[in-house]
Amino acid sequence: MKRKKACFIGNPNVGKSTIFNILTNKTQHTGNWTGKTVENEFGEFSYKNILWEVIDLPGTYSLIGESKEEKIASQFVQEEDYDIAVVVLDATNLERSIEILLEVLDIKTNVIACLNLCDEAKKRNIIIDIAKLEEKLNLPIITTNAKEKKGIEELCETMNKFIEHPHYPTIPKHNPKIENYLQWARKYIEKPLTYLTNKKELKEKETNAKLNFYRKSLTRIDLLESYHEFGTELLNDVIDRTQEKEKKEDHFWNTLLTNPISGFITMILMLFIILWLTIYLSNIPSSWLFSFFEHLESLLYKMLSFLPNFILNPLLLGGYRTLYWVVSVMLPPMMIFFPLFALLEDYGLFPRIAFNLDKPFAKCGSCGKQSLTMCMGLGCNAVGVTSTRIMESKKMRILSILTNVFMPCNGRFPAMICVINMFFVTDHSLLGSMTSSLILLGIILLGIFLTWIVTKILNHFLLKEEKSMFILELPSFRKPKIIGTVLHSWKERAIPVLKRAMSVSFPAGILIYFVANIHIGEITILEGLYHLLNPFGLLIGVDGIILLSFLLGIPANEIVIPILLLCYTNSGSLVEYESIDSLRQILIANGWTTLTAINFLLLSLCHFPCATTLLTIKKETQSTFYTILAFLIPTLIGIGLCFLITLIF
Amino acid sequence: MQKMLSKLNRNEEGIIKSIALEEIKYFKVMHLGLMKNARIKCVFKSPLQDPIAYQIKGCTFALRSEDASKIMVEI
Ligand SMILES: Nc1nc2c(ncn2[C@@H]2O[C@H](COP(=O)(O)OP(=O)(O)OP(=O)(O)O)[C@@H](O)[C@H]2O)c(=O)[nH]1
Ligand SMILES: [Mg+2]
Repeated sequence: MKRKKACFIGNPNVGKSTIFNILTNKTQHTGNWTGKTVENEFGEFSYKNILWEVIDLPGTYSLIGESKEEKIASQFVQEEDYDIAVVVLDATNLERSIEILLEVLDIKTNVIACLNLCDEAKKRNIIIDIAKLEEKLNLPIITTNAKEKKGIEELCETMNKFIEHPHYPTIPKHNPKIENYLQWARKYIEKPLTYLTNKKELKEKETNAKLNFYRKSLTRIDLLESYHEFGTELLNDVIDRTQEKEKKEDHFWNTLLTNPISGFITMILMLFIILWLTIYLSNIPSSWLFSFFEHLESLLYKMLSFLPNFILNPLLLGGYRTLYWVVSVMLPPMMIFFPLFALLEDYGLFPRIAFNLDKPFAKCGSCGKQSLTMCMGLGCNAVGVTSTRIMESKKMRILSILTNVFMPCNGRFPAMICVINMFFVTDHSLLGSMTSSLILLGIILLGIFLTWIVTKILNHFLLKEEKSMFILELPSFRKPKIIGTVLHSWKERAIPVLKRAMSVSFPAGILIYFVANIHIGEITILEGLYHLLNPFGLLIGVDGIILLSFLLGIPANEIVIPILLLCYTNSGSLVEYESIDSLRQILIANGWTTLTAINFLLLSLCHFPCATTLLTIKKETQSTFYTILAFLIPTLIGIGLCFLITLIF
Repeated sequence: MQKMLSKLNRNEEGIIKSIALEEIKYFKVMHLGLMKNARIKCVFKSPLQDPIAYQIKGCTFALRSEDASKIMVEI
């Protein structure tokens, strides 16, 4: 079998990752917003007699730009070795997506094109004469609908065929301004185009006065204009937009979301519905899981009874219990929240949220795209931090990284739901779950409010820099593939998070067991720690154990509640685990009041990010200072808020 | 008649006549097809009136009025 290499290149949000996923059976994240993929992704598949190595590049509009994604892509296209570049085009927006194809054609000949989103173009009545375009460019163009996996086979076929019979596509014709330069410069330099855009290139030629003159007088803008002119002429009789119409659903959502009254109500209502579905639907599976794991525990106890107690107890009462708490409390909400969320993301709602919220964010020195990163943070803060790459400027990026933790991630809000259900809403009927969701919604709104305040304050202290431009693309709504998206979000989001939590919870449980049972002098280590932390805990209206649980929860926030319960149950007042309701007894027996519960909720919202998020922040900012800030800011705010509340009470 | 892009009413269309943005910004909007002589339409405004969504060919995007006011269109 031959090995060949192909890369996927194209504008953002044209479906490169979707095609890549189909080919390689991989599960790269996709989403209906610009800038989803931020790094090169590698994969493999074989078709007939060729084993293809494929690379999914971040979406970019052009190879001659200066942004990070543009550089990654352009460096790859120009310097790496590959057999075919597959340029993915957007059928609903061919005028724009063709420009990068022209840029690639200018430097490479091993190119084929793939016209994706054909179904969307058809829905909008955009008519494209593909055969004509193929002929004009002398280039195979395959039409695909990646959502329905249509045309993928043809794409593979064409790739294979191209290897056997390569052919040479048309080289774009430039306008006289650029063409003059090219004719002249070809005599002196090998890559005259790169020379115009890449200022570092060819230092030794610097002495040539005429060359220097060209380089000063011709800018990237001239070059881009030249491509644009050629593209416009090329597509003149290829695309027919005369019968184009707005999609019904676009019209519906645009009207609803941009209305001053219904716009914000719809957004809040949608968040509410997601939270409510998550809370309501996870109650029952949660209690099933609890009873299942309890039965298993007594079974395990019998089976393992040959083990001595000092091994059996830490394993079962420590490790196993923490593990099953994590699974029972976290698994159901995750399995519901992540897919719902992924569906909205794929549908294309997030950019609209950013659009509506730009003004308040602008007032704080940031921009609407920050709300997009916050949405991602609601799933997982580490993902939220990575997604801040879409922010236009370094400063705004730092601002959104430092405040991302104010969005309670999936590892935290199930714990919040737990406490809300115990102390504020005790019936689990339909109505009860609605009240719980309202409270949780309130907490999230508080998080948004804190984000604004902190962003605004930080904005004054961080380095001033020139105002950058806010451009936000508003892709048209695309109906996601429901089953595929749900499965994908389980596999890619829920399960890895759960795995991480589980792998932390078992050893943590064992550790807690020992800490609670090893005596040093008169008291156990746990009691020692408790006495150490308790005075401070009482000051801010919680107790030593709560603080300890948050500290031990650094590796994964999911384990905070289990550790809390384990500490309580191991320090004397053993209560039978039965269901979510029996938790309340454990907590009340340990002195919890409504005030404790409120403070616990506040602390869950505002405390240091988990270890994974901290590492991501370090990686993204390349700065220890910002990582420490990211740790301190929410922690101090959380402590301050709790202290205030306790004072008032 | 020429007017600022930011002053276009909903569903009003115009042809771009001049763009007085700094080079970096201009380079960015060019990718959206926002160039001289392109036809642009104001499609909707955000509930707080700013930013505003525009459409050029098949592409819908949002600009703040502050930037859009530097672009002149002929209607
Ligand atoms: N209707 C329809 N939707 C599609 C098609 N191809 C992709 N999509 C959807 O378009 C969205 C964007 O797809 P991605 O694969 O994430 O796009 P990308 O090109 O990788 O985007 P970046 O990573 O931002 O560069 C996803 O929600 C897909 O489900 C298609 O042919 N038809
Ligand atoms: Mg992608």
